[in-house]
Amino acid sequence: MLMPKRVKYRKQQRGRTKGMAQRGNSVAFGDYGLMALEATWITSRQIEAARRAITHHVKRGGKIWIRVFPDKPVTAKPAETRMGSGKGAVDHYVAVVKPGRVMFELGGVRPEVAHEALGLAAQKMPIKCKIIGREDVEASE
Amino acid sequence: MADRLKLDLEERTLIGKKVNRLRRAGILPATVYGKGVSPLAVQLNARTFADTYRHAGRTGLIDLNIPGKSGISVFIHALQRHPVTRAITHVDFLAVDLRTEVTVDVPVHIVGESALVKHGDALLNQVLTTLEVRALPADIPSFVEVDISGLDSFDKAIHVSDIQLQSKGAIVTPADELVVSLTQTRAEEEEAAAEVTEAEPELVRETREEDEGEND
Repeated sequence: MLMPKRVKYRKQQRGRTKGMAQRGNSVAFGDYGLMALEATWITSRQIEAARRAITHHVKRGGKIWIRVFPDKPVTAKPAETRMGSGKGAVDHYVAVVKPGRVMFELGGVRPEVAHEALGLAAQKMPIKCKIIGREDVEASE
Repeated sequence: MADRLKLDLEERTLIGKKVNRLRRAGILPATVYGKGVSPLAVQLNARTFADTYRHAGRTGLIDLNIPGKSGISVFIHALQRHPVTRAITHVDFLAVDLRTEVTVDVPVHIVGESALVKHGDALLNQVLTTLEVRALPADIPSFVEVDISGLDSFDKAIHVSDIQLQSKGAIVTPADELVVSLTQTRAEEEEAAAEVTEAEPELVRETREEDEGEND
């Protein structure tokens, strides 16, 4: 699963997710992309599940781009622990996603295969998503 | 280019954040600039623009009809879109002189079918989706066709130098740049590759302190 190799600080504060994706909001590499319609944290497990769903559906062929990276550590306290005694240990890593962010891109496959594969990936996401095409790909359809 | 498209525009007095009022009323704010035209804030019907854009794309020459100004021919130069709805929120029109050559990004259309790709043995790798073409504005093609039926082995590829323009003009993109190539399809499932032992990320600070310690 995806996680940073090196970090400057082991733990982070949670922060607030405001606004929409001002970058990474269009299909840049492949022909089709999966766009987030809500703000959320996407865990590395969810990214991996979606990647597997796409890879499994397109079988051979096709190229996948993952355009989010889980670089934010999330901590958790062990079960049945009393409150206090400091912040918990790092449990997993998440990617902060804002509405409009293109999370996955797919190229080199037929449009119907791309739609099916990204539809399966959308089911692995904790948010509503939509499938979009590259500007000239959409125009030619 | 056969028939030139026409677009009716009005000069725009609302600028800045007030422009959102126009968008709510179905009017699209735009700007015209370029050779021989001082920058001009304009507005037009959003639906009319969507129709025109569908036909012209970014390579079609459009004649603008602005009251008090005439003879402005433009290309659609830049579009701003809403990040989520992807509705067009602003347009930049680039005015051009019809007697001066311009450089425009023309989309690449793949035609034909490679036997290897058809049988699922190879994956088509399209590196360039647009080519820079220099020509008179009226001669700019709406797309450049690239025939891939000749790609029958992995060592073959199509470079910019292999492409011939059907219309007048020249390709500006460097001739040695790769347009399309074939790559081997990957193995059926590569899920095992993702299963890497998870190690805790190392801290940048710690490594730095160690380095400093060694230096002392």
